[in-house]
Amino acid sequence: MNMFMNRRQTKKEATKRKILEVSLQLFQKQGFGRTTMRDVARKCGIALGTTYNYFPTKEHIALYFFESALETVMERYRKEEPIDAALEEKLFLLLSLELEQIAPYEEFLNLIVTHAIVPTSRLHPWSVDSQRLKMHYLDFVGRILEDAKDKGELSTFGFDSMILSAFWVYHLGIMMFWLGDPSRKKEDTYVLLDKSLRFALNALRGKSPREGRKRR
Amino acid sequence: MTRGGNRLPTGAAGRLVRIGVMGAGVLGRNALGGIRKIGAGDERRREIDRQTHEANALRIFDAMTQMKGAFMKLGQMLSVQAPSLPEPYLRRLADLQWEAPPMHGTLMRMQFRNEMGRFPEEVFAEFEREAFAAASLGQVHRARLPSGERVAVKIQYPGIDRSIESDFANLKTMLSTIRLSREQYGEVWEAVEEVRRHFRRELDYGIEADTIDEFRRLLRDRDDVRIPRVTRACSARRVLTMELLEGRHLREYLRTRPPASERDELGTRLLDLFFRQAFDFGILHADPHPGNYLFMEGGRLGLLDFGCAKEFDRPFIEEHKKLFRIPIGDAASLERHYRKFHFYDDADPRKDEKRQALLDMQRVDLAKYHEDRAFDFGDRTHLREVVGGLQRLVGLGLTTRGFVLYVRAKVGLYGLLHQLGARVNCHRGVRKYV
Repeated sequence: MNMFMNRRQTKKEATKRKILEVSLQLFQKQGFGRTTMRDVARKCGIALGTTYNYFPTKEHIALYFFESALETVMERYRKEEPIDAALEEKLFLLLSLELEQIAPYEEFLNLIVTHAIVPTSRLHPWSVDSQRLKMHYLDFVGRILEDAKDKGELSTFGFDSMILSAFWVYHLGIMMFWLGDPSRKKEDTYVLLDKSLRFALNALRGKSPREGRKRR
Repeated sequence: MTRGGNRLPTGAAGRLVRIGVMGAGVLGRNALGGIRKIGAGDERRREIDRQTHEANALRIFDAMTQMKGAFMKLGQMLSVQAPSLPEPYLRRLADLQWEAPPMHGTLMRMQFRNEMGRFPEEVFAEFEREAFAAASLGQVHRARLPSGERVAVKIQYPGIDRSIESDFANLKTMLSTIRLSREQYGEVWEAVEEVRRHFRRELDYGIEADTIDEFRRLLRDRDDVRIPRVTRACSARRVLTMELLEGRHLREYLRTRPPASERDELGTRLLDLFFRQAFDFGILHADPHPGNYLFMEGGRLGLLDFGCAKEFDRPFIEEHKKLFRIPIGDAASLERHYRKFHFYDDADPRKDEKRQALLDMQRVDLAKYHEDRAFDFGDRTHLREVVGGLQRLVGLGLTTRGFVLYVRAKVGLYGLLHQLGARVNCHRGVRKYV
């Protein structure tokens, strides 16, 4: 939380978080579709009108979940970033931090997916409401990419925005794969992540994927 | 062969697509070969068969290289265990070498934590993020225990067990596209099952830890041989922590220009170690391959990599020992010996050829065990003759699985001694074991 926030903002933020936590419990317990804003307000002990001040709809609550998860992920990434590592490893770290962050809410995410598929839903990955989240995320990824370009690790041939759009879809795909991954500790997702990142980045670099490695 | 490739189709679906494509190609070629054979003479037919097999072998090889997974090693092992596969398949398969893709630090740490519950830096006093060696199915990192002991930590690539299982499942599909006789099919299938069992063992580092302990027990009387101690508290199914042995690999060792006497001494011990393992224990710690030995200070030998210890066929070994007592050139005794293996009978039209091949092989390989003097393994002709003789035996069908496994290992030993340029008294080396 920002250290320059005043007390009122802090209190507002705390209420938002409380609504989110209570909602997540309710969503996981009785389903996303069956939970109403009224249920949320009652469980929080807040007036329904006040709840609407924070979140106009329960979709907004869900979006807030993703926004705050992303904040945490970016904060952790900044701390743990392996500065000298290759781009593959950096993006791997970013995505695995995302997976780690959402892991406790798997049940909720499974519920939300069916809603997010509907094109008119605010949760749809291309909806107007989710754009802010998307831009925020891609801005962050874009900076990691810039850094790699500065180091001469790869060239994007001016296709940055296209690559970033593709990355948004890729990252959603990884999330979907993770949700349905039955393997032990979901390790298949990490294998897919590892191999697909190598593959894609090598393709971008126009390199053969076979690189030398030492052998004892 | 390829090194640390990355373009890996993940999961059964991707692999199956590749096999499908390849299988179609093999089928097509078999059919084409069949058409081309119509009206062709015997000689021409054989040539077409050979071409067809050669082309198929290439295709299977290419698909396998791209698929990686179990197939790489599988190819190698099938070439040992299914000698009746058509020769071009074998030749191609024998080239295969399998390696897991390298893991970067983030993935490696994650895999370690999944196995051990904590990150490596929480378990060890020091841990090198960069791997210092590639191991079969994973990679090896240097580390230091809180006690100060330096260790090597082998970490397996995630999900490799299931990817190998899915390769085996796919192999069934592939095998049905190769034109094989019922006997060949049975033999190949049995070999595949054996390789599969082998892989299941190799994937479980707990079994490797047990093997290491067993060899430490078996060779406890040998001060000149070092076997790394396992740290069980820092090991699991996919993580193996063992003592780090300091020493040089063969090539580095030879670069120090060691004197002939030292190389001879090492060669003598390598030979002794081989026959002790093969004839007394019935199990070899690993293939006699330069990478599996470490040349250490004070002339000690470090043994590495117990993940695929080779178990020999006991009855075969017991019979084989007797071979060392048959005088060179004693055709009658040699024939009596080989009759037990049903290599040929009186009705066999090629029996003279076979008898001669076995007699030649005896001279080429076994004469040195009868002479009480140093034999120079640096001699290139010897190695070439042994390999040539072996190929001739295989070509004549004079093989059994037990035989092939053992002989390949022995040729590996000869190769090692050749590189070392060692002169060894083989007679004394083998005497106490036969």
